Amino acid sequence: MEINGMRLAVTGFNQARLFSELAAAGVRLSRVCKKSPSKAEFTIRKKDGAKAFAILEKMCYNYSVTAIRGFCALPRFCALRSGLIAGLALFSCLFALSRGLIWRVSVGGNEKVDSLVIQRVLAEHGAVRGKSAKNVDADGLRNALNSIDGIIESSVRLSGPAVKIEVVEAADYVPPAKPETRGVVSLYDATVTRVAARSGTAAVKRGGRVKRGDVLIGAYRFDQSGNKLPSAAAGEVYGRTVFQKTVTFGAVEYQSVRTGRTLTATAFKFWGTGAGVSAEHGFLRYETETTESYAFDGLFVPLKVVRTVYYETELRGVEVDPDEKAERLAAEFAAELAVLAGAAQTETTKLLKQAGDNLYSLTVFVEAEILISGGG
Amino acid sequence: MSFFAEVAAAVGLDAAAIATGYQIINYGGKYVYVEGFKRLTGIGENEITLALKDGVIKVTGRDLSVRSMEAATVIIEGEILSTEAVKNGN
Repeated sequence: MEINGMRLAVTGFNQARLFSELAAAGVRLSRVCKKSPSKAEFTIRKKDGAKAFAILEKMCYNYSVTAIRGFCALPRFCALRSGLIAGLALFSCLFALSRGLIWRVSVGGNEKVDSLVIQRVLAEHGAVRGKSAKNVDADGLRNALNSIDGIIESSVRLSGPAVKIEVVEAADYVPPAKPETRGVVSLYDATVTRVAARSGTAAVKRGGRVKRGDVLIGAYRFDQSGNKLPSAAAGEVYGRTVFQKTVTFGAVEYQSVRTGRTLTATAFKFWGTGAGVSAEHGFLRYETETTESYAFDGLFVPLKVVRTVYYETELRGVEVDPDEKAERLAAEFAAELAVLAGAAQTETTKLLKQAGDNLYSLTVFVEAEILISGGG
Repeated sequence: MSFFAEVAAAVGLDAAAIATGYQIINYGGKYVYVEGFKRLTGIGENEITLALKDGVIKVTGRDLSVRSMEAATVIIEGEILSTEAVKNGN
């Protein structure tokens, strides 16, 4: 349908007369299509609409407008489909941009030559994912690949967004030996108690003494002929070691003790908000206890009573039994090691000495079995 | 000079004869342009008839339809098999 056109569908007979009347009145008809003896469709210019409607009504034809196309039709069409159009435009841009980029690099034929060496050469010549395919010099890349030790021939094929590399290795090529990894090492000076090697070869036995850094499980294995071959090393090794801690404490301990004097302050909260509790207690040292409860228990009234009790305290010197304190400190140290180092089967030894007037020095030795192995 | 005027001049017709007569041009059997008729008298897929002052023009064919039409001109499209102008009394 032409721009600024209107498509009409009419019902009635003697359509030839109708068309003649319309044409005689200056209405330009186009795409006249007779659907049936009583139905026809045709297009007129929008500006002839009023004239056409008048003639149709005068001639008692039933008619309906099936389509209108104006100058705003195209912008309106685009506006209603703006998301689709934007998506298509974005896709087209991305597609156009991606056309010249490399999206896949495949390398085949290398079994002995290290892939990292080949990839480094590819990167130097721009044959990596995301780079422009136009910048890849296939001949230069091929020459660079052929110069790699162990490769006698290679082919480089650019196929759209893919770069396909095939190499041919020399039959007598022996790859360089990889630097041997140490294996699982000890993190402590210890006496080995348990060795569980999942891969590699155990380098220590139960009862052996190891120092921090010694290899516990070697990164190698032996074949049937007794040849040493590289291997991954993994496993757990446990050992007994001693931890030591020295603490100095006095014969008198100061503890915070309540004097008996108290002061209670009350505040209210409504829907969880309210003024904070504060009181002029006048205590130099104190501790507090705060409780909250509903003012009307059982009824749903969001009013809470907040009660804070201030207890006056003072520091009082309490004489300490040094043996009791030493025992307590030793137990704390052993418990700390159990948590931090996973220590088990601990044996604790204490050494308590008087360091001066009312002053004691405690050294605690904790012997325990822990996991002594670390990464390779 | 218009196409019709050129033809008229070539065959010796004057301007009045062109203005009051009819012209039919068949474009390759696909379109027929008719000018100078009085009104459209019949429209169908196989025949479209146009009234002249003293006769009728018949355009016969298949899948005929009116491509565009104004006061005294019409373009008919379809598979045009024949066009004839029949004078009254014939």
